Formats: sequence, C-alpha cells, structure tokens
Amino acid sequence: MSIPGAPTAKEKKYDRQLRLWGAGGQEALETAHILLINATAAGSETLKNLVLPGIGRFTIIDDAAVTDEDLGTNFFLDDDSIGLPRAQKACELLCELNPEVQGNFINDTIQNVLKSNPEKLKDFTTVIATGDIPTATLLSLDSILYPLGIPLFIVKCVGFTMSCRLVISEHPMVETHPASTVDLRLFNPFPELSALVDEKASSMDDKSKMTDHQHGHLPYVLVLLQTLNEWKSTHDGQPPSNYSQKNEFKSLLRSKMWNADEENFEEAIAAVLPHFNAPSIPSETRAIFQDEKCTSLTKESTSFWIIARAIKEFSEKNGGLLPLPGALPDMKAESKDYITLQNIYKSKARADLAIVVNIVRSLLAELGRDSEEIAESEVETFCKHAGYAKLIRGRSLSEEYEKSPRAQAISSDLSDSTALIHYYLGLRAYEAFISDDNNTQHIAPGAEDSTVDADTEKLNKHVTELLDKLSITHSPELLEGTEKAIGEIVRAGGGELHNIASLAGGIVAQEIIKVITKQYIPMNNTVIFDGISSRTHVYQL
Amino acid sequence: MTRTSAGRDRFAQRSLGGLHRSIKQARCLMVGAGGIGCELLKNLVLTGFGEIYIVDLDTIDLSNLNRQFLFGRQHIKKSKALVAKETASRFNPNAKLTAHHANIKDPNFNVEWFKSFTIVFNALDNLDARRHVNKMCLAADVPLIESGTTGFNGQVQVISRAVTECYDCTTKPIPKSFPVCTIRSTPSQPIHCIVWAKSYLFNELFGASEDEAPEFDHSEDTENAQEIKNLRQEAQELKRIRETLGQPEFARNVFEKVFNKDITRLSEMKDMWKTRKPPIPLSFQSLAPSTRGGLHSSFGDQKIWSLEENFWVFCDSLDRLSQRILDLRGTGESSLLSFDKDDEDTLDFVAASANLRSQIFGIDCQSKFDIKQMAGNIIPAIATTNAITAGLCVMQAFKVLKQQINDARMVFLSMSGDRGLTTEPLRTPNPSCQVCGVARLTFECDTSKVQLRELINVVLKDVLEYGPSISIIHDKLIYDEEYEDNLEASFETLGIKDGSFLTVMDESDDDKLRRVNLIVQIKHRPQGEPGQPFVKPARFDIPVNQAQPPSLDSLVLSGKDTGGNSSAHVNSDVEQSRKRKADDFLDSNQEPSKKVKAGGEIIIIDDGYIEID
Repeated sequence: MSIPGAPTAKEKKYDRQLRLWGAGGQEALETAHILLINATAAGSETLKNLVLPGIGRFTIIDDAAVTDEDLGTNFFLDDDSIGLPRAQKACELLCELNPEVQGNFINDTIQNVLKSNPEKLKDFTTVIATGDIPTATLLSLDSILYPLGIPLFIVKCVGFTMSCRLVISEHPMVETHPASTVDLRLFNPFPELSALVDEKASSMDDKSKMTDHQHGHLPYVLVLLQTLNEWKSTHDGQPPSNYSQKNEFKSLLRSKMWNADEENFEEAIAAVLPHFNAPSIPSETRAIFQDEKCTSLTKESTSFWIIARAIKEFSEKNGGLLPLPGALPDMKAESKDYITLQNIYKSKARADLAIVVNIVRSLLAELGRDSEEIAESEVETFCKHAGYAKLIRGRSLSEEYEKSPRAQAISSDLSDSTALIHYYLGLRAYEAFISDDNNTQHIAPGAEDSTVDADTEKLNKHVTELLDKLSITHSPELLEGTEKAIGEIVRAGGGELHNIASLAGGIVAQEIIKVITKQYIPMNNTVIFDGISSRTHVYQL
Repeated sequence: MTRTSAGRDRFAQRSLGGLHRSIKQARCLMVGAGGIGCELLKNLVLTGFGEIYIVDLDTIDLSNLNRQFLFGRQHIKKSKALVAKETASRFNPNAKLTAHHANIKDPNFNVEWFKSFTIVFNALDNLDARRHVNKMCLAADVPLIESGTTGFNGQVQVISRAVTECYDCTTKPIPKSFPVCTIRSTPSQPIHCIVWAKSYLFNELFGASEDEAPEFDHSEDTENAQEIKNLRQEAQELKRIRETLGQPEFARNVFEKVFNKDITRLSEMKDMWKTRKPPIPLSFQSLAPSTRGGLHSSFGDQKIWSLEENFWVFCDSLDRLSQRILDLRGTGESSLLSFDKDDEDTLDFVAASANLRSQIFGIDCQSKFDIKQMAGNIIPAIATTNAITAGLCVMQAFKVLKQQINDARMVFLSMSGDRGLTTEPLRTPNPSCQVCGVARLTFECDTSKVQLRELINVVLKDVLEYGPSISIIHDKLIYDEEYEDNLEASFETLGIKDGSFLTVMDESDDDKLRRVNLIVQIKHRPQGEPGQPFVKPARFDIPVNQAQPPSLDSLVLSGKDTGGNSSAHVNSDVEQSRKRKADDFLDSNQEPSKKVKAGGEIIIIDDGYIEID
C-alpha cells in the first residue's frame, strides 16, 4: 500500500532543487527539449548541468569525430570514443547521468541541417550554439529562432575567456524571487488595518491603560501606524517625505519608548527607511502595463498578458495600488496579536485577488475564450509578485551585428584597459577570423605555432575594422586591453581549458534554467567572463 | 589503446605555460566529495593535477544525484570518496588518486600528514569540519582553498597562514537554539512544534532520550523551575509508555499522553495563558473513526494535511517505527532510531506530530515538504552553482601555485541578473583571531598527567613571561583570571589530546604590552620528562598585538554578550522572546566560542551546517 504523502523517487532525487524553483519550474524543465550545436567541452558541461536537474530531452548536432585533444578537455568523452562521432559519444555518456532524460544526436553540421531541414529547429524549446560557428550561420539561426520566440544562447569559450549571448525576443517573468514581497501599506492603510490600530495602539502613550509587557509587545506595524497618525495631525496630513523628516520621525518613535530594550520599537525605527515610501507602481511593472501586448489583448494573448492587464485595471480602480501581496515579516509580538495582524493582511490580499480573478474571467470572456482557462493559482502568484514582475525585450543578433549596433556600450568602456569589453572585441575578431571566406575549414587563430604572429595581426585588424564600422574612434592606447585579450585568445589556439569550460557550463546552464523556468532574472544579454581575474561583466549589446 | 599524453594535454600546456609543470607535480588534498567535490575532482583530474587525495566520510543518497554526477543509482549507500575516485580515474589514467572513506578529524590525518600536501581544497558541508581543516592547514602551513554554496550563491576564499584571513577570522552565524519552555510549553511558531517533534518526542519514543538535543537552551530554566520540574515528570511518564511499544494500544497511549493529557495539564496553568491563547487538547476517541477508509490513498508532499490526515499519518508512521524497533531488537543490535530527513518513516512521524501540536496551539500547519526543510536544515543545491564554484576554486589554486597569492581574490557568486561574480582582494589576518594568531608553540606532554596549572605556571608565566591576565580557549573558555576551576584538571579530562589546539589570549590592559594570540599545539608524549609530565619549551618572543582590542559589542558568544566569562556560566537574564524568525536554524554540532568580527560586514555566507556541498 502506498503511504500517503510519500514523495516519489523522482521528488526525492530533485528535492534540493525543488526548493529553488518549485514544482512549476521543474515541470517547465521536464518539458524542455534542448538543442546543443557542437559537443565542445563547454557545450557538454552545459548539457550536463541541465541533464542532472532533469530536462525532458536534448539533441546534439555535431559532425566532428572525437580526437585526443577532446579527451583532455571534455569529461564526457573517453578513450573508447576516439575516432567515433562526437555527437553520438557525448550523447551516450550524458544520458548515463540521468535515466529520466532522453538524448538524441545528429551526426552532421548545423549548416547542413539548416539547408536541408530548417523546420527541424521548431522542435526545440532552447538552442545552445557553441564551438567555431561562422557569423553567417549564427545569423541564420537568429533569423529563424528569434521570430519564433525560441531562446538562443551563443557560447564562446577560448582559453581563459568565455562569453554567452542570450538572444530572446520577449521574456516575461513573474516569479523573480525578490528578497521580500512585503508591502505594509503604511501610507495608505486599508480600513481593517486602521481599525486594528485604533483598537490596539491608540492608548500606546498612556501608562494607565497599558502594562509594560503590552507596550513592549505591540507589533511594530501598529506602533508605526499609530505614530504616523500623530505625525500627520501636525504635518497637514502628510507623512514624512524626506530624509530629515524620516529621521525626525525616528526620534519621535524613540521618545515613545518606555524603556531602552523595547525590541518592537527598535524594529519600528529600523522599518522607517525601507518602508516609508510613497506608493507607486515600480517602473518594471509600469513598463509591462504600458506594453502594447498588455494594452491590446488578442485571442492569442498568453496568460501573462491577460493577468497583467487585469492587474493594470485593478490598480486603475484602486488609486494606483497593486494587489496586496499579503506577506507579513517576523516581528516581536504576542502570538495572538501577530496572528490577528497576519490575518488582516491575508484577508485583504484574498479580497484583492478575488477582484483580479473576476477581471481575468471577464477579459477572457470578452476575447471569446473559456473564462476559466487561467487557474486562480496562476493569478494568485502574479498578484503576489505584481510589484516585482519583469519583462525583458531582447535584441536579435542581427540588431547587434547589423541593424542597430550599440556602439555606445562598447566605446564607453574602451578606455579602461581592464574592462571585459576588450574580450568581447577579441572574441568578435575570433569569430570574424573563422568566418573568413578564405578559411573554409574554420581553423582557429593560433592553431598552428607558425602562424601565431600573422593570426594575431589579423585579429587586431578585425577589431579595427569592427570599430570603424561602428564609427568608434580608437587608438593604439585605447586598444591596449584588446591587444592583450587577443594575445590570450590566440595563445589558446582555439582550444578549451577544461576548468574554464566547466565554469562556463555552470554559468550558461544557470541562465538557461532561469529562462526555461521563467524564474529569477537572467543576465541580459551578453556575459563576458575572464578566468584570469575571475570576473564577469554583463553588457546589453 | 596506448597513446602519449601529448594530445590530451596540448591545450592545457599551451594556455597554462610553466604552470602546467607545477600542476603536474602538485600533491593535493580534497576534503569532501559531495556537490562541489565531484565538480572539483573532475576539474583537477582534467586540468592535469598529478596526485589527489580524497577524504569523505559520507555515503551516497538518492537526493545527491541531481548534482553529484560521479554517482549513479547503483552507488546509493556506498562511500562517496571511493566511488568518486573510481569514476574520475577513468577520465585521466595519468592522475594518481587515493581515497579515504573516513572522517577528516580522525587522528591519523595529523599535522604531519597535512604538511605533505602542496594545497588543500575544502569542499565541505559543515562548519565543524571546515574549522578543523582550517586549523590543520594553519598548523601545517599549507594553503587552503575554502568554498561553499547555497542555492544560487557560492563563494571561494584563499587561506594562507600569516598572509590572509583564515576561516575563523570572521564571525560565522551562530545556530539558533530555543528556550526549553518555548518548545515544551509555549510554542508560537511552526518551528517550535517541529523541534518538539524531532528532538523531544521522537527521541523519547525511539531514540536515546538521555542525549538531550543541542537546540535546547537551558539558560532560562531557573526562572521556570516549577514548569521544568513538571516537564521532567512528563518525560518520565512518556518513558513508561515507551515500554508498551509493540502492543496494540501503543499509538493510543502515546497520543492520549502527548496530545491530550499533557495539554490538558498545560491549559490548566492559568498564569501561562493570561496573554496567550490556551492550547486545546485533541481526542483520540473522536479522531479514531476517521482512519484510513475515509481518506485518499495519496495526498501530496507539498499539500498541507488536514487534521484527520495528520492523525492517520501519525498512527501509521508510529506503527512503522515500532515495527523497526522490534525488528532491531530481534537482531541484538542497538534498537535505537535517529531522525533522518531522508528516512521517510521518521519524517512522516515528525511532520504529523508537529502538525498535530500546531493544531493544538493554533499555529499554522506546514506541508511535509516544508517540514523536511525546517527539520533537516536542508540547503538548496544545484549542479550549476557547484560547477561555477569548483571552477573558481581551481582558478584560485593556479594563483597559489604560481606564488601569486596577492592576485588571488575572494569570489562571490549570486543569481542576480546584473552581475554574476563579484570579487574582493583577500584580507590580511585578523590580529585578534583565536585560530590563526601568528605565535605558535608545540607543547609536548603526557596528556593523561599534565595539569592546566603546569601549562600556565611553568610554560606561560615562567618561560614566556605572561602576566596574570590571560585566558585560554579550547573550543570554549577553559581558564581566565576569574575562572580557575580547571587548574587541577588534567588535559585528558578537559578533552585536550594529541593534536588539540589551545589559544592563549593576552588580556593585559596595557596596549603596548598586549601580545598576539598564541596557538599551542598539543603533542602527546607518554611519560613526558623525568620528574615532570611535559617538556619545558625554550623561550621565544611573542610580538605585541598592534590592533585595537575588540570592543565588547563585537564579541559574540552563543548569541549572547560576554565579557570573557565562561560559556559554562550561562546568562540567565535573557528575555524570553516571542520573536519570529523565518531563518531559525538548528545545529547539532554547535561549538560556542567567542569570535571577533573583523571590521565591516560578515563576509561569509555560511551555507549552513548540514547538506551544503
């Protein structure tokens, strides 16, 4: 007989990660189908970090045969693999990591797949491109995947350097996992809360009506609200608005303490700066409300946009307030007072949720859709995170490379010779080198000892050409950092170091998990990592 | 197939240059073969490290497999160290790997043994072992790469004696304990009920009840003497019920006792409920008819169970545990059980008991999933963070091997969207640190005979010319000017043995004379010298401490202030607080020790005490 509540073996295996992204995130992973282009060390390590937490499926496209060098850098190839198709061998060893994951491979180049069957790309939910892929191929991938909304991660890992470019058109997130979702409504208490303040805290200053114990256990939220009432009565009904007024308010609180060790008053004083803010809709949320997808819903609108619209309408009818998340922080208080206070916030949150759910239902009906098709739990999650939701509108690779390059983002860091933008330029030059029409075999710079100097020269030239094209003024002094980066890149001769590839695999897989689960905020859009200084930098390019 | 290693190492040789040789010649020790350890071992092997020792006392569990990729299902219950070695050696036949399925604190891993390594990597999951390895590496003067992860966060720190901060130069968060009365009589949060179920009820029924759990704080006992007496009596009664284990009425007896009789007694103590809602006892009689038949056969892990469901799981898990005890008795082995978050029977029992108690006290019930986290101190763990952290460890090891420790960095990783890694330069040692203080002395003595008095009078005062104001710490304070209880005690009775470390702190008021801490390493020498049970060391100079003495505010002892008092003398005037803390963590290997916070914030995110990688 099965024991009630007994977790399945799968739940047990994934226990430690379910605590980060929950059942919803896990389900998103388990329905993902990931394409890895080229089973490089960095690519294989990325897949490893996705196979372990249990993605649904993966496919590797690669036409290379396993070499001796592969064995020194790629953990997922062994002695018996030499000479065999790299896609197949990596697939086999990766599958061993997790029997729940299904692995496939295509022993061919991505160029051939794009030529013969570009529709194939629609099978995938996420694509990772690694290894030496020429610019034209990357742009073809971009032109197919970007309009489809399939995220593409372009990963370059050479020597001590790696970069990861996230190409995604639109990425809405609700569960961004902020440190806290507490909204105490101190500046605009709802009637039930005000009533509780009157009941419990109005005689806060009267020693004849309260014992020391009661005074020292008055929840700080009530202390703040009662003191605010007093403050407002002498400040034209306005709460403290600037830093000096807030400090004045803190002194007022301190003067109300009956003895020096009243922790609840200390908590109240500590809460002034973080919680005394005029209510406003955060800019990220406002951007969602103003997005065209929110203002003009269609029959195809996703639940994100329908709920966003409902919350927008809710806030318009509620004086610009978002639905109350309902969370209450820990505080010093008698248990029963704390529970009463908690219930007041919870009930208000439930009431707000009910209104938003109704709006969602009628919006769906107006669109001619099933008014029940969005579950209340999904609306609830959104309501709790309304002030923390985020929308990334990404940029395609063709925008970065051709249509609207962000010269400013590059030029502004150029004068700092330690900035990681120099590695970006070095890796762009590397890409240009392997994409050169005369380099049909896509040989990496520095691959042969005899051509190191010539290759270095070529890479430097690619950089100056790129900067010229972007109309960025440059000089040998400005390019000191770039020259150094190029030196490192050529020295690696197109080879990966296992340790850096492994680290890159961690970073890239982490970003992929964020994107697939739509939880946490991914690094948008280009991460550059330098192993020598153990630094990362994120550029929006 | 025979092949030269040239092809395999080609890229590593090119990129690493001269460093490649030092890596091949390095002899490294990796302590811990869990989440970070698996990644690290793979990286070390594929980077070409010549000789790697692996020590881990743990065995493989199903919940490791989402990240500890050197292990598969077929390895469950086997030694992590041995399996990790076996799997990793397949990937580089040139690497020389040695594995020990053992505790790093075992005496054979002594200072001499640590001295044989070029570099040590900590890939541990608990504070106690971390601090031990830190101490050993300082004594052996071997560089240590310390690392830890929790969820998406991680950090790497390079520790080198007298050059950088050591692991103990900064304060680590001290695990939370609860007043006995809060747990036993006046719970107000789910965690209180969970601690009660796990550390009291479970142990009284199935465990070694005399081993009282460390999460009980007895500092307020004197204020509540009468209640403490009642609680003792309750525990006695429960012991008698334990004797009926295996009989049909066992579940009913336990239930009636802890959820009815004890509660009824409590609720009658009117004084206690003046400002709190009194508890409401549950009745076995009224819940019993609702058993099995009326319930769905499976209700989820993440759902909050109803009262009836909790009742059902309570009875059922009690049966399962009783049966296990009976089976154990049959084998003649120890018939005691201990709580393990991954042991379904024990977790079910704790979850259901905690929820029944919450119900009684009007506290929100929790899902089994959440109770598991709270009861087991589970730290979220994933492959990605471990991969990044292990990679960073190796990068920092490169700096150490290249003798460029000044270029090494403290590295933090976080999940935030605008930056991945942050680094800061390594800090210099905290002059007031009790562990890495720069003066060192090896004291050879017969630990069964030598008394603390002899160390103080002969060695410290006569030879080293210390004044009267000194304090000596061995995990906790064992001597200061006002605390002379241990003077006649032998080292052995104080728990000081071969390989132990003592810290001598100079407490003299004169800033110009106060010397840095002295670390005394104990070396056992049977019989000592003729006429005395120790070898008198030669005099040497101990430098004056240039740093300002720490202010009292920055001293922390078990969450309470101390001005150098013994931790054995507990502070009894701490107010009983009803404060709720979501992050109340419990720990079973708490070592109270006062430590000083180096200027500024605490920089270690300590990833907890159980289960981080």
